Amino acid sequence: MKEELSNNTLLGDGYQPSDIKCPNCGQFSGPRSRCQHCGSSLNKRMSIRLLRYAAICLATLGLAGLYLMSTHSQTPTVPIDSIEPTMNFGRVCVEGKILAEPYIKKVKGKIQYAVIKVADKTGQLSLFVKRNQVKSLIESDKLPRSGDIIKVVGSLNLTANEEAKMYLRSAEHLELKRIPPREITSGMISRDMLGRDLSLQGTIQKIRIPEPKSNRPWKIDLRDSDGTLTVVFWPKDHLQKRFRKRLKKGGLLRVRASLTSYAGKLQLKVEQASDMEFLGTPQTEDLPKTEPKSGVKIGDITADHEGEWLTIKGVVESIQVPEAGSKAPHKAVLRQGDDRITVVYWDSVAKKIGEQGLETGRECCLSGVIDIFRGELQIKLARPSDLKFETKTQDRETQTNPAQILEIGELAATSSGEAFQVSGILGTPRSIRGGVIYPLRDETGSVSILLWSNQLSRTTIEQFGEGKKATVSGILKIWKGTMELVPAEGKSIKIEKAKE
Amino acid sequence: MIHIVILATLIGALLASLLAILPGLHVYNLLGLIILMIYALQEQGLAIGSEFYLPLMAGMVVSWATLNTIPSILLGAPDESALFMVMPGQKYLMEGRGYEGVMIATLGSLGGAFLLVCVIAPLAPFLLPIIQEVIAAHMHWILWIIITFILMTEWPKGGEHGQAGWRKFGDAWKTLGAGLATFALSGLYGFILLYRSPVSVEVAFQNIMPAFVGLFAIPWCLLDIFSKAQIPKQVTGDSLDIDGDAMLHGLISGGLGGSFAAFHPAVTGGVGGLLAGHATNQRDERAFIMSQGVSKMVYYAGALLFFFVPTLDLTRGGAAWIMQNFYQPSGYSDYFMIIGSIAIAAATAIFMMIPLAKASLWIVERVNYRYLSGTALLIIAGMVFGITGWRGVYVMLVGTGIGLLPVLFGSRRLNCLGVLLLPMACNMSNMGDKFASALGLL
Repeated sequence: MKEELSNNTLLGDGYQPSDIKCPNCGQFSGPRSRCQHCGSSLNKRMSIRLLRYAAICLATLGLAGLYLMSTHSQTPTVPIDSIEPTMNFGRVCVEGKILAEPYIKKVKGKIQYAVIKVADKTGQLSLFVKRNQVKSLIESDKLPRSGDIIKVVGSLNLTANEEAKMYLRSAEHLELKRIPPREITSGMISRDMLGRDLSLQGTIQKIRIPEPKSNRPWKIDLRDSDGTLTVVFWPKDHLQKRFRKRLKKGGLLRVRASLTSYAGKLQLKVEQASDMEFLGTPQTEDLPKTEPKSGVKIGDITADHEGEWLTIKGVVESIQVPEAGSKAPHKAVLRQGDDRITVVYWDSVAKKIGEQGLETGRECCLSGVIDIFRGELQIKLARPSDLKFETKTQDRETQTNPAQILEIGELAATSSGEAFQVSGILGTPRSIRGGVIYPLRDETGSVSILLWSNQLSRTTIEQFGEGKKATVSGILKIWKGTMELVPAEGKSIKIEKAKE
Repeated sequence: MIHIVILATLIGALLASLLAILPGLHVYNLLGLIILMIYALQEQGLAIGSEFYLPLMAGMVVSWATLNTIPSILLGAPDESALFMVMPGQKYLMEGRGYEGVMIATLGSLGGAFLLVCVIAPLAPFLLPIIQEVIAAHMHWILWIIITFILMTEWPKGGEHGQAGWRKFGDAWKTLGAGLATFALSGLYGFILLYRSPVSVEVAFQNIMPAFVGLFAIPWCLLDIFSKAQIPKQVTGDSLDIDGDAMLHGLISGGLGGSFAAFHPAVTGGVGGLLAGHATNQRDERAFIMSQGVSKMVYYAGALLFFFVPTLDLTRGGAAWIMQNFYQPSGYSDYFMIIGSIAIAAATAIFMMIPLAKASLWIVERVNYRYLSGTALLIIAGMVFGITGWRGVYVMLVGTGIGLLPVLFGSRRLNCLGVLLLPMACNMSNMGDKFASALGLL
C-alpha cells in the first residue's frame, strides 16, 4: 500500500490548484500568507483575506456584542414547579419564602457552605451558598431566617430524582425581606406548624443540662399562660458557661425557634445563641398577663386540655405531703361534686401557702396548667397567688367539724365530699401506704376511718386502738365503693377508753 | 430486558454510524436532541424505560467515537478530541492513503474498546475512588499546569527569514500571538456563556453546544468551502503499514491520554492525547494516529462508563452531564449493562467501519466535498437554530470567529478549548466568581 514518496512533495500535490501551493517551493501552503516550508511571502486570494478579516471582526466585535447582550439581559423569574431538567445550568430568578433555618456546614468551626430551603406557592428548592457568599450574607445581615421572603438569582443544578438546586453566585443577588417570627403561646402550637419559625416568651420552669461531651441537647421547659413547652438547643462549648450563668429557674426568656417533633412530642429548637433573649428574673407579676380559662368544671377536663391554663373550683378532699427529703410533689385531691382532680404543687409553693395552707374540706379556687402524669390528669399549681379560698375559716371549721353526731347508718354515698361527725367502736386496723384504716362501727352500720400519716401526728394516730370508742369528724369519701371518713386534723378526733 | 438492551445498543450504534460520517456533527448535539424527544414523549404520556435509552445513548457515543474518524481524516473536520489527528491524517489523505489512516485509527478504537472493557472497567470500582480521593484536592493546579503546557508548546512558526528587527519579531509572533489571542478570547467567551449565557433558559442544558459548534465544526466546514484543495485518488488495500511496536506505543499513549481526559474535569481527549504523546515520547505518525483512535474511544466511552461506576460519584463528559439530568445510576446492574453496551456498540462500529469508509471515499471521489461540507454546515446550523434559536446562532457565529483565528493564522486549534479550561480552572481555584464579578458578569 505504501507508495514511494518524495521528501519535498506530497503525492496529492499534483492535484492541487496553484494558489494553495507556494510558488517558490511548490509545496502545499493552504491558507497561510507565508509559506511554512520556505518562508516566502504569499499573496493570498481575496476570499481567504476576507475570511481572516471576518474572523477577527466576529471574534472581537461579536464577543463584545455577546458580552453586552448577556450583561444587559433580564434574568427570567420562574415559578419553582416550572423548572425542567432542560433548564440545567440556567440562570433564573426565584421568589419565595424561607422554609427553615439555613443549614450552615462548618468544619473545625470554619464555614464551608450553607443550604437554604426556598419555597414558593408551586414548589421548593435548595439554595446552595458558597463559603464566601455565606460570609458576605452574614456580614451584611442578609442571611435569611425561616419565614423571610427572598428574591434570588442563581444558577440551576438539576439532577435526576433530586430536588432542584440553585447556586447563589453573589450575595448581591439576594434581596431579603425580613418577616418577624409569629408570636405564639404554647397553647397555640399544633403539628401544622412543624418546621415554622416561632417566637415564644415564658418563664423557665425546668432546665436539663446533659452530661459534658454528650451530644444531647440542653432542654428548658418554658411556661407561659397556656402551658409548658420544651425548648432544646445545643450551645457551643464557649457559650456553655455563659448559658449556665444566665439560665435561672423562674427567669423570663424569649426564644426564636423552629417547631420540631421528637419522640412524638412537639418542641422548639433554637438554632442560634442570639435567638435566646434573657428578659431578667421576673416577679410573679412578670408572668404572662393572659388570664387563665375559668368556669371549667372538673368533670369536663380531659386529656385534650393538657398544657392549658385553667381556673377550677372545688373542695379539698385530701392532701398528701411527701416524705422529708423526697423530691416528690405535694398532692391534693380537689373535688367538685363527684368529679375529682389531683392538684400538684412543689415544696416552694407549699411553704409560701403557709398557714392558710391547703386543708381538707376547704373550698378553693385555683389556677394551674393541666398535665397528664402516668395517664392521670392533674393540675399544676405554680404560684401561691394562684390559690384562693372561697370560704372563711370559721365556716370551714363548721363544715369539717360538724357539731351534730350522726349514726353511721345515716351516711350515704351520695353525700360524698360533705363533712360528717360519727361515733362508734374501732375495729381491727389495716395499714395502707401512707396511713392506716380503722373500721368504725355502731349499731346502725360501719364506715372506714382513713388516717393519713402526713396529716395527723403520730401521737394522734397512736391514740387509736382496736375496741376503743371514737368520735371522728371528717369528709366522707367513696373509695372503690366503700365509704371512708377522712379526718383532716388531730382535733377532729376524740378517743375514749374502750369498755372492758 | 437483555434483548431490549442489545436492540437499543444496536439502534444507537447504527444511528450514530450514519450521522458520524457527516463532518462537524457532534454526538453530544444529537444526545441533546434525543433528550428533548424523550421529554416530549413523556409529556405525551409515553415514558421510555432506562433499559432502552441508556444503551441507546451508550451505543451512539461509542459508535460515533469510532466512526467519526472518517470525517476527521477524509474530510478534515475533526471534533475537539481529534485536533491532532488532522495534520498526520491530512498527510495520509494527500498521499492517497486516507483509507489506511482511517483503518489505523480504527485499530486504535478497537484497542481502546478492549482496554476499556477488559482492563479499565474491572478495575474502576476499586481503583478510581482511591485515585479520586488522592487527587481531588489537587485538580485545580493540575489544570493550570495543563493550560501552561498548552500555551508553552505553541511555538513561533515564522521569523526564520529576512533581516532581524521588529518585522521579523512580529512575523515570528504572528501565529504565536494568534494562538494566545485565541485562548484568551475563548476563555472570555467561556466565562460569558457559563455565567450569563444569552441562550434561552428553557434549553440551558445546551448552553455550550452552539459554542462548540462555532469553535470547531463551522470553521472546518467554512475552510473546506473556501479552500480549493482537491483530494487525490485514494488507495485502499487489505494490509496496514504498522508494526507491533507502533501499535503498543499507540495503545499505551492513547490509553493514558484518554483515561486521564475521561477522569479529569475540563480535559478532552485531544488534550489527554497531547500530554500522553509527550509523556511517552511519541514520534511515529502511525503510532500517533493509532493513539488518537485509542484516546478518543477511551475518552468518550470511558467518561460515560465512569458515570456508572457504583463506588464513584463522577460526572465527566457531555454524555454523562446530559444523562444525569434525568437518570441516576443505581448499582452494578447499570454498570454491567453499560459495559455490555460499550462492547456491543464498539464491535458494531468496527464492523461498520470498512463499508462506511469505502462508501465515504466513493462519495468524496465523485462529489466535490465542498458540497458535502456545505450540506453539513447547513445541518449543523439548522440544529443549533432548532434547539437554541437565534440567540444560539449568534453565540455560534461568535464562536466561529474565534475558531477561524487558529485555522487562518496557522496556530493550534487546541487553544479554542480555553472556552472550558479557563473558566473551569478559575472555578476550581475559587477565583471564578471573583473574575466573573470583575468582568461584570455576576
